[in-house]
This record gives sequence, structure tokens and C-alpha cells, in this order.
Amino acid sequence: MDFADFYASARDDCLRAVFTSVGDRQEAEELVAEAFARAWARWATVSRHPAPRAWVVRTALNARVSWWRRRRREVFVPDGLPDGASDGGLGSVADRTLMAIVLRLPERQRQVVALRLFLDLDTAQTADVLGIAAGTVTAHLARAIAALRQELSNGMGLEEKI
Amino acid sequence: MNDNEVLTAARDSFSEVCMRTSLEQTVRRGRALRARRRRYRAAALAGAAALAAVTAVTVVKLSTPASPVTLDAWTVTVGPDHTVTVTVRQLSDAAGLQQTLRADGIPAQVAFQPGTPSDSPPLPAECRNVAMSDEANAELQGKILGPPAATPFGQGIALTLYPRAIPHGIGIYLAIQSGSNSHDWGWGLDLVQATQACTG
Repeated sequence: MDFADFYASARDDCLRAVFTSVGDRQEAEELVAEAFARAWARWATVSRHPAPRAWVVRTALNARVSWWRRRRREVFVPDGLPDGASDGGLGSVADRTLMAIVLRLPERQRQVVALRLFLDLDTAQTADVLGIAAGTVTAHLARAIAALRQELSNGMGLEEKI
Repeated sequence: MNDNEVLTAARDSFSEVCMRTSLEQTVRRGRALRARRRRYRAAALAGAAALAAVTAVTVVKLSTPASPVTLDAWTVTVGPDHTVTVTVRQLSDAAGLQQTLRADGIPAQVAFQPGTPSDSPPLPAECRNVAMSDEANAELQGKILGPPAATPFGQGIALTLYPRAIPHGIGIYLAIQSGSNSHDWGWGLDLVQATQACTG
């Protein structure tokens, strides 16, 4: 696969995965753009990676980790619309509401969900990308699904939160 | 709803989130990265010839504080405005880097941590965080540690410290991390109480 094909097929899923993890649309775009640029510069190597999409997402998240770790603060996602939702590019009210629920999950749960949802990584691959145990991945995913199910089953009184 | 239905609904809610950066912009950015890496390699080769005898953990003793301390593993340079630039290329000799920073007037504890960067590495047992609000802490950290310098991908990490911004009684705990594939670098900076046991 050449880089152009890879970029066309992977860019949106990588963005969604990073957006889910960091909770900020603009920051995610910048991080993913940088990660893809690095992938282009090292394409001979990255193209042989067993999971190039995971490489991009991990590179983007590591770049972001460098910034955020030193300030020791969590991503803050306020109730209602996620950051960037006002640009008209984030879909229906229901979608935005569910998206906001995903973005309110604890950070590790979001990261696990992001890799499962958008990169379709299995437990072992997710554990490898995040550098955590497979059992931890399973536990985070189970908690995340339970939380999402709870919110969904609370029904679409969800709109009232927006 | 079963698990798959929950996940599908969550996934679908992001369907309108799309990259705005074009392929051309990405390739242009990649070319710039590659060019920087080539320049770095050229400089590194020249430096290697001049410093062939310097090993990874050999400290070069220099007489003036403004002179750089250079190892294969890391370099500390004190600028004319008393800024301190730390470039780490290998996680080797953290104690030497710590000693060099302290000699340059920075009460510091340094750790090198191989492996996947962690969101919350623990402080060393001998160190204590300073008591201040998260906002004040973040503001002060922003004064002490400048924006990350551009470094060629996979070639290390460069940090700029401003010692004059460090208040009396406060020190720093600097943790440098590198992933197992040697391309992923991260760092953590904590403000700690400047004590003999923690920051010298």
C-alpha cells in the first residue's frame, strides 16, 4: 500500500481514535496530522509495521502525553457538547450526545474504547499499544461498555443534557 | 443492548468527525521532518568524528558554566540568558545529568524510565510535591519549562529550562521516558519541595 492510499483509508479512524482519547477536536487533528507526517517521513518502516494505524495513533498519543503529563492534568470534558462540536461537523444531536458521553468516560477507558472502536484492535493489541496488561484492557472495556449502556438505557432524555 | 450494539452506537456517533488536513499538507510536513532529520544526521556525523573518544557515560569537565556538557547520551547547554537546554538521546547516566543540572543551579532530581510513557509516574519516595493549586502549578511549570524544541523524530528529546523561574524552596523532578521502539519520547515534570534528599 502506498502512503496516499493508507492516508485516505486510515485518517478519519485515526482522528476519531485520538479525539476520543484526548477529548479535544482541534488538538486531535494537530496530533494526528503530525503523526501522519512522521509516518510519511518513515514510510519504508511504518508500511511494514503490523498495524500502521495503531502506529499512527500511538505516535499521536505519545506526542500529546509529552505535553499533558508534565502538567498533570486530566482532559476536562464539560457536560454537553464536546469541544469543537459547534463547528457543525459533528453530526446529529443524538450523535453529539452519545459522543459527549463517550468523552466523559475516564481517560483509560476512552483510550481502550477508541482503539477497539476505530482501529478494531483486539485485547492483546490494545494492551500492547497502551502498555498495560491485557486483563486491564478487558476491565476498562467492560466498565466503559457498562457505563455507555447505562447512559443509553437511561434513554434519550439525553438531549436534555445538551 | 448487547456489547456490540453499544459499541456500534458509540462508533457511529463519531461518523462525522473527519480529518481536514489534506494529503498534500501531510506530505509537505513529512518532507520538512525528513529534511530536519537529514540535517541532524549530518551534524551528528561531524560531531562523532570530533568526539570519537567520548563514550556514553563520560562526563566532559568544563570550566565555565556556559560551556556545554556533552555525552553521547545527553547534552546540557547553558545559554547566555541562563537558559538550560537539555537534549537526551539515550536513557543513560541519569545521575550524571542530575549532577550537571544541580551544578548549573537547578535543584533537580532526574530519572530515566524506559518503556511506555506513563500518565502518572510516582514521585521518588524522598520527594514531596509542593503545595499549590493545580492552576498555579501549571503556570509555574510553564515558566520553568519552555515549549519542546523541535527534535528529529526518534532522535531524542530536547527541553529548555529557565532556572531563574524556579522559586526558592522549590525544585523539579524530571522524568525522561522512551518507548521500547526508541521513537517515542516523553517527559514528566513535577514541582517538588527542594530538600537535600530530593534535589540535593
